[in-house]
Amino acid sequence: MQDLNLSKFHSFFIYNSTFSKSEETETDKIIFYYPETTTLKEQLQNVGLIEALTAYSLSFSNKKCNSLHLEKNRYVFFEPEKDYWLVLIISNPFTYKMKGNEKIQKFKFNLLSDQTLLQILKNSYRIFYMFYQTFNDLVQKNSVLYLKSILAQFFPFYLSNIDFSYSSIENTVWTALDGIQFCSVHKNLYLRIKCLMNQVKSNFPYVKNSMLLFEKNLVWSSFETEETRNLYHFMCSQVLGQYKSTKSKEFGKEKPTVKLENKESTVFSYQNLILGIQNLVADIKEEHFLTGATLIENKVVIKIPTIFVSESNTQKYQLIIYKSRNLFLLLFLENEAPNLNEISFYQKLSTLIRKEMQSICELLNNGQDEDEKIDQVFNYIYFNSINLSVKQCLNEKRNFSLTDVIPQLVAVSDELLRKKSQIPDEIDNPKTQYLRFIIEREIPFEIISQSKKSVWIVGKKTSNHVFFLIFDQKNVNLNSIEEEMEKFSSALFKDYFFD
Amino acid sequence: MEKEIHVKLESPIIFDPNEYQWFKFDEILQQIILLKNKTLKCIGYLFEKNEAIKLSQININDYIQEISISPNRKYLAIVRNNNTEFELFLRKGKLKTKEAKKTLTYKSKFANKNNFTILSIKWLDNLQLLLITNYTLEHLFIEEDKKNIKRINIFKHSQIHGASYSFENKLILLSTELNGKQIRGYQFRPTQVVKLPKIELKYPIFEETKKVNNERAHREMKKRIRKRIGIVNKSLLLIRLYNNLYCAQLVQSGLENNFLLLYKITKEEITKPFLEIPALQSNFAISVVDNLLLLHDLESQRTMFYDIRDDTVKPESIIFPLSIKPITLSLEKAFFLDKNHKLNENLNENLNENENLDENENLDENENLNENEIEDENQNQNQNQIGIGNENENENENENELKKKLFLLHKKAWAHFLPNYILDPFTGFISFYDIDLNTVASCIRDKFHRIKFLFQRADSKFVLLKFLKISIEENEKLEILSYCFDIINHIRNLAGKAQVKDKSPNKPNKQKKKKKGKKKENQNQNKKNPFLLDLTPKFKRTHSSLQLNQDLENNGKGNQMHSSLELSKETPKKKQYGDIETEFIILNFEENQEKTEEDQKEKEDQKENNKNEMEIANERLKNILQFPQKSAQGYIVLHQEDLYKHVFLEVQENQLIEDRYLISVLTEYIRSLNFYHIPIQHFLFSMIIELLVKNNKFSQLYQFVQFHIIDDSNYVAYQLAALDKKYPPALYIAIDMLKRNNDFESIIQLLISRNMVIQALRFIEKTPNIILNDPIIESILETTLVMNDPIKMFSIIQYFKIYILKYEKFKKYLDHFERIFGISLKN
Repeated sequence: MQDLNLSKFHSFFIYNSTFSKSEETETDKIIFYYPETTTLKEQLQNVGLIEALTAYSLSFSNKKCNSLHLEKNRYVFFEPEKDYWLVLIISNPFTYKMKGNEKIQKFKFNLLSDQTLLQILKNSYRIFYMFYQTFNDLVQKNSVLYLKSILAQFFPFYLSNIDFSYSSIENTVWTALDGIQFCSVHKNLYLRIKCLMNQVKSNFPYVKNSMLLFEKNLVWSSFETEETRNLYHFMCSQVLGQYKSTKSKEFGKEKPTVKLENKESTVFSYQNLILGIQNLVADIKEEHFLTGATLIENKVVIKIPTIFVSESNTQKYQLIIYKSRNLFLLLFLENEAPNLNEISFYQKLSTLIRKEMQSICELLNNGQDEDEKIDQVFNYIYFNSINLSVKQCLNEKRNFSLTDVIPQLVAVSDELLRKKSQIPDEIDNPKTQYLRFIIEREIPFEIISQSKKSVWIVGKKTSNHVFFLIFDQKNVNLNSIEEEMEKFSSALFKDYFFD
Repeated sequence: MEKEIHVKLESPIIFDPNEYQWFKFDEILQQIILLKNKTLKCIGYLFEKNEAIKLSQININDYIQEISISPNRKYLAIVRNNNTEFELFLRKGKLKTKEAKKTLTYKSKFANKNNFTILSIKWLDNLQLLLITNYTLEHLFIEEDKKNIKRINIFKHSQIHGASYSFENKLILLSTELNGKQIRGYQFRPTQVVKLPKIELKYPIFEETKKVNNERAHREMKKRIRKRIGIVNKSLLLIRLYNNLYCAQLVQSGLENNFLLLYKITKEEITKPFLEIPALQSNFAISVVDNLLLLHDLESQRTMFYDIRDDTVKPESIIFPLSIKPITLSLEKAFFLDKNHKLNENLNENLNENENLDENENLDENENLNENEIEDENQNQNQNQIGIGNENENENENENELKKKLFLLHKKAWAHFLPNYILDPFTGFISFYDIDLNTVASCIRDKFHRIKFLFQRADSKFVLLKFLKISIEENEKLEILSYCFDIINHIRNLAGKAQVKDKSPNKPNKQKKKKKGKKKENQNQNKKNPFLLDLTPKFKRTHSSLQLNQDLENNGKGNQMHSSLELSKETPKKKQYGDIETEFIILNFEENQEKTEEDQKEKEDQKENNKNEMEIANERLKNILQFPQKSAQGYIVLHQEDLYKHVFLEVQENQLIEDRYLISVLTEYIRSLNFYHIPIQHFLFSMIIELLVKNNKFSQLYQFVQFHIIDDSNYVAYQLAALDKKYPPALYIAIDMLKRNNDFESIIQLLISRNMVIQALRFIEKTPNIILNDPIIESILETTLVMNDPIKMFSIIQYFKIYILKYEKFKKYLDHFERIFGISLKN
């Protein structure tokens, strides 16, 4: 597979069919199209294709279809708000094959996962919502033109930060699972953190919520699960997207500082915000604010972004991020809290948390190397659907290469996660009562697959857990895989009920 | 009288001084001894029994100089006036016998010396006593079988002016030499007598002490207050504060230059004065209440508090020289000895004086109190006191006219006895000082100091809990609460360790059990005297390993008894006297509870058998005898139950604060408990779960379980399982928890109850330890039937086919199956 050309971003667009009343105004329905260089004709063709497909699929199911597999490209589409469709087109990975003297592209059209790509779409909408709320709101409050300008500002930057190459677990299964990586913390430390958060809240009553990340691991969140996931995703993919662990040597040197455009502009720019934070994150200084009172070129600048944490929570928050080495504290303040523009507020806050944050950070850095025994024996990815915890344990001495495994893993996960969304549909259909029984009986689902390179992957889904187990033993049969599975589940689920 | 009360006098024993020929306060047994027509009346705080002993061999005309009763009240040592010998009276037969007969007489070898006088007689234990004369200190032993008094030791001095004795430390200090400036200390240990190096006092002993011992002055005094003896304030006293023993010298010239000097006494020596408390306007007296030193300035009518914690004097240790309001004498628990004695007439003067005092505002000059804070509490206090009815109605009709509280002022004539007694020879009452912790603690503004202060008080438990509750309800800063919880749990942790030490299977443990058994035995023997501890056998047998002491000086009201356990095998280290008793004071709360339960039963019995007023009064006295639970270090131990019941639950019920804040407070407490490795009780978890669910903080709840903050317990699991309608994952959290607790049956029941029969069956199949039994099968089948799901029913009944066909009791499922599906299961 050396000469496999990885999947690539093809295009992304947003349309709303209701914006076009007649054929003359057909182009009005395209609200955003990227890359902008695409011809209008192609734009209209693609929009038309999706419009037709979604309408047509409704005659088979009450659920609109959400993907289209073609030889060269994969289409995924998602309707976050009524009539607003987000469409992503990805070109399939391919290899070159010689046919006589001719070099022809041979596309691998089953290597991409709908679940992952859909999740990418959902995530993009989620982040957009955090800063701008719904498309409809923008149209209602302003105009379609305004919406277009916002989208044109937001998406090109956002999309440029996404890796569509499908080359790592993070980009594939991980994204599809859409989970949170928790930091394993001893209960005493956890309580200490919790109490520090409480103290911050009681000292600054305007602080309504808080969240603490240790690198890309969640330590603490006062939000409910769904909101935590959104914020976690925002932090990991956007703020800490380029962030490398302190353990990597290049830390702090890697990224040259990006000059921000329109620094003085009063209009909120997502790009400026994220680039600004990323610059500060890369700064090796031990403790400082990333948003709030920040020191830019020896000048204190107070800038606080306003965000909405989830669609179900209409509360508007002002976000202050404080960094202490590789520990990130997010404080969510009630909108329009007073004193936020005074430096004294940040000084007071910093005095309260500084020492404790340092000490917590120290403890977390020291306690990171402890790994559970089971982790070294098995290679697995685990997801808990209650707290959305996701965990990846891949043995460093493994005999397989990840690039070999990923396509297989993607296939297994795609199949397994697809089931999740299908069950409710079936249940409503009286004709498939029997099937329903089978499905219920069949929970947990289990998929066992073997690749050409003799890597076995077991995917299993129970009511609350999903895991993928990778075995690299050669010349084993299904029975011994079954035995290994038993060993694994009794080790991992020793303390948990596992149906 | 809307003045805050800091010091009060409790449970007075009131008598008519004119009725008696002689009376004195017995510091060891904490009782007053009154002599009237050959009969001794002894009424004490320590022993509830009010007894009368008839001394048939005493001549009415004899003047009695000294009466000293042995700790077990078997012997009475009596010195008649101008006599050079003492007589030992034995109470014959059982303790109940009311007659004592003279059995032995002891005359010192030096009795023929010029001016030989017996100064006093002190009991070391039930059979050993010390005779202090103006030339010698003699250590005597009563040989009961030989009917002889044997002299063990004699220490001669050129002149002895006076003695201070501590019964619990078996330590005596003699002021010797010409001016009494030289102090000699002797400690009587089980096997040896330790002489402490002599020390010269910085100032001579106050003149009056000498006068007491001077025969002429003695006679003069007798004329003045007739035949009463032993009521002159001493100027050299042994006091114990926390674990340290001090020699306190009251230097009072009667002029302005009065002060108190404290010499610390260690095992080896009496140190140089380390603390000088000056600036007293006039003569003064001291008391020790609850390890606090109280200085009563007799002229200005003020009392000052000193909290001397450590060897070093820190600025905060002299916490607050407070000016004090008139002292209240609470008559609720008063015990009237002489029915016709009219106390109120004598006290009227006091009331008048008091009114004058109210106008005298300069008393407040030293004050730094938060008036408002105290007022409320104080009003409550007053209401409480007035609210309680006076049960002594029948005793004396005049009493009804008396107020329940009297406001008194210090009187110069009052005699102070350590630790905190006063005797008023004119009015005729004896009482003890108590401090009102509520108001005193309110005076300490610094919250940290206040908490520290309260932790070391004897019965501050509820005051502490109250302060905590108020703090929480006032939205106190979490940092401060965090600190409080840390102190609470630190002490709790130490107490826990001490108890483990206590329970370790070594020798003292056995001894302790023995002791406990013995105690019960004694109680059975003396049903009407549950508090009477027979000291004799133990003192005789076990000098080394176990001593059952009456902790006379220790703590508060001075009427609390502590059982102390001394470990003999403890590695020798530099100890102070106080250590001997306090280091191992471990009060097992359960034991105490047991005891009080027993007491209550006995009380009831008593009531039925012999219900007279005296008994009722005695019971009331007994009620004061409550054991504070303290750690080995002498701090109040607060348990989770206490905080839960008296703080968190009340706060929750009052609903003055937001739930969010209460959750934070609870989390702080749980953090602190975890930090000190104290296992957390499930009710705290229940409360926090309840609060989290009420506020829809499900994610936090899950995190608490995830990070093992909420420990696994079936109790919590059931609570969580009940939440599944509000928060569906709670069911799985509960099941996980049950699995960790290996409670598989509950898991199956839970699954079945949620109609998850298939999951239940799968679980049964997968878990090797579970055997399918009839009740499980029946409940699964029953649930399937109720669910009315034909497909599930079909599969389940098929699954259990063998059982259903085999047993008659499952026949109804068979019938049901055939009726629904129209086919026979047998095929």
